[in-house]
Amino acid sequence: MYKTILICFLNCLSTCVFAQNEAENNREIILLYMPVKETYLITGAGLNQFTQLETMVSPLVYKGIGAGASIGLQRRKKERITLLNTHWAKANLYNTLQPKQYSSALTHVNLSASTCYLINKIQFKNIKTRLGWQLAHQSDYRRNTQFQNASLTYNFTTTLAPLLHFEKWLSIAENKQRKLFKKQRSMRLSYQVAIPFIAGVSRPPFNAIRVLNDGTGNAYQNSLADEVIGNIKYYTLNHFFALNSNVTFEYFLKNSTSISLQYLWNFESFNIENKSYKVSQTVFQLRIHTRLNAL
Amino acid sequence: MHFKMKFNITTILIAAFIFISCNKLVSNKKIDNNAVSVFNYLWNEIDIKYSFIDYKKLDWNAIKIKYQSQVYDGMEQEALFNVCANMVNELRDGHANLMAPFDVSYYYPIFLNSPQNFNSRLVLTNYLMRNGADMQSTGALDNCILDTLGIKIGYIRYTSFSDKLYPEDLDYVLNKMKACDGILLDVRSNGGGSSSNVFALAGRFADSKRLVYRSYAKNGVAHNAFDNGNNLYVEPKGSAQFTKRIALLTNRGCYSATSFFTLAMKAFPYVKVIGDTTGGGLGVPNGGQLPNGWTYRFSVTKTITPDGKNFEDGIPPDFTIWMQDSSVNNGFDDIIERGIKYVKDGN
Repeated sequence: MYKTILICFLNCLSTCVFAQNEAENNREIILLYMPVKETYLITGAGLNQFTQLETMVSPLVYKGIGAGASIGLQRRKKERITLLNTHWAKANLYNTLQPKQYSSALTHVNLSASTCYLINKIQFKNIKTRLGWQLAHQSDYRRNTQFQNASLTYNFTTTLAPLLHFEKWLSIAENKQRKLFKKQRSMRLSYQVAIPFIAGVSRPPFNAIRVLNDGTGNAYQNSLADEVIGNIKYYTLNHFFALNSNVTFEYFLKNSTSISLQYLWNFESFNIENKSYKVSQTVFQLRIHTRLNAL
Repeated sequence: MHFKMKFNITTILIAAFIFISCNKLVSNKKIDNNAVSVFNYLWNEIDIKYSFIDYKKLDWNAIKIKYQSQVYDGMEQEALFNVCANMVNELRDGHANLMAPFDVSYYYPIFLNSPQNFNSRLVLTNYLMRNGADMQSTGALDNCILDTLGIKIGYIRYTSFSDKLYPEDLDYVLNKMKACDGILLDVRSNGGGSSSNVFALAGRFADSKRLVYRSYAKNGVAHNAFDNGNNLYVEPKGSAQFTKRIALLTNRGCYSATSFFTLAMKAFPYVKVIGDTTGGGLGVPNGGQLPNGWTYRFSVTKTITPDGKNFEDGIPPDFTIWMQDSSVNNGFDDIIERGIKYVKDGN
């Protein structure tokens, strides 16, 4: 039994190595004509621009630029694309009416899981169209020491959204007249948009206040975790609107990896009297797609 | 059916980059930063969030009418600040402040309209330095041992709850005074600070875990809309606690965290509060911003004793003592002397 497993394992391993070599040698052809199973680790870093309105503490719009990083896992299987992604960003935000020392530190985390399927009956010329869904969780922590006892406010949002994905291959074989990137490389341009229709939102209580009680200096009357869980409410489009979109330009290299430039725009608006929150995030990031599996 | 249409890269790029301008979606169209909007915004924030409008029997609508007529668009910033500050001071709350780049408003009458009942020089020369070398400044605590006709009484002076209390300092002072018959804990003219120090200090004088007060946070627009409240307890802290007679010396300059401390200490039967009523300030302040960038804060919680009393305007002492000029002239602090009597006699 043990020997059988070992032989199978070695056989698979050698097959994978052979396949990977073949894939690298015939990269252009394979990417063009063979829909295959591919798994990529996607890491990226870039600049983020935030615009935020947090009415719990201020009627003013705060803006700022910060840095961010992302890590994700993408799996392409036949005509299905599955993506697990985490994006983290931090920025100092300012308003136009106060000196620069009064900033608001924003930490933004976005977790998402999405999958989409090729829809044969809805295809444009040379563009693949996919439909799917996205489950996303967005966390915003805003800290501003000038607002006593309201220095930390938060916005946790979990959304479920239909997803629309367009994808176009750009290759010499497809477009021999192209003027840029004339080397034998494949490129891919994709655009994705998701508009959630239901959201679970957790915002601070009425006054965004936490009363100290235990003498440790930083503990809240209720733990933040309890508070967040206790404040979750579900909303649809009557009080909540969000849009997640991105444009990705991907350039394939010969060594089974690709690099991409991504422009990402997230917008969220939560509108409840005395608790309104709006945030817009614009991201430019450079990403590396490292292939984890062989063909 | 297949849709065939001319849909090229340019179309996608144009559609995508349109969103760059969508940052403008994040705006607050309801708010302008002119004088009238600023005034109305501040009035409304207080109306829905301030926790003592009912308790202080404020006619907040009448106050709006009173000050609204003084506000007009285009008025000087300083003039607008004065009008808004005067409106905020109608709250009669030391926790209510308006902050602009050029000024900060305070409500002074709480202690200015009362006798000071504290003379720092008298305390230093005639009590702390009575035995010269015995006086120590241990962290934030000035302390000494008063030897009064063979009875040893510890004296601790804590000037601000903003000064952090370290466990090592408290250990040292209480170890030094463990043989004393009682302690005079002088927090007069202590204007408050961090509530973390309240529990760090009170825990050193606790014999057991006791409910000291309940805190209710404003949670709705109605003036009487509060949450269900949270119990706050003081329990023994540190390696050892001092639970003999303790005289807590107070005056009207005791505000905010010092009033919380006084309220907490009243839960212990061997503690007597001596001096004048504290300044109050038992609502936890909460801050925010106005449309013109100024900031504000005011109380958004209320504190209720275990027997249901609200001491927002001040905690009355067990023994009301005011300092007399004649005593001061003779080198005596009437409040300290009354504290010594309590430690010696138990009443």
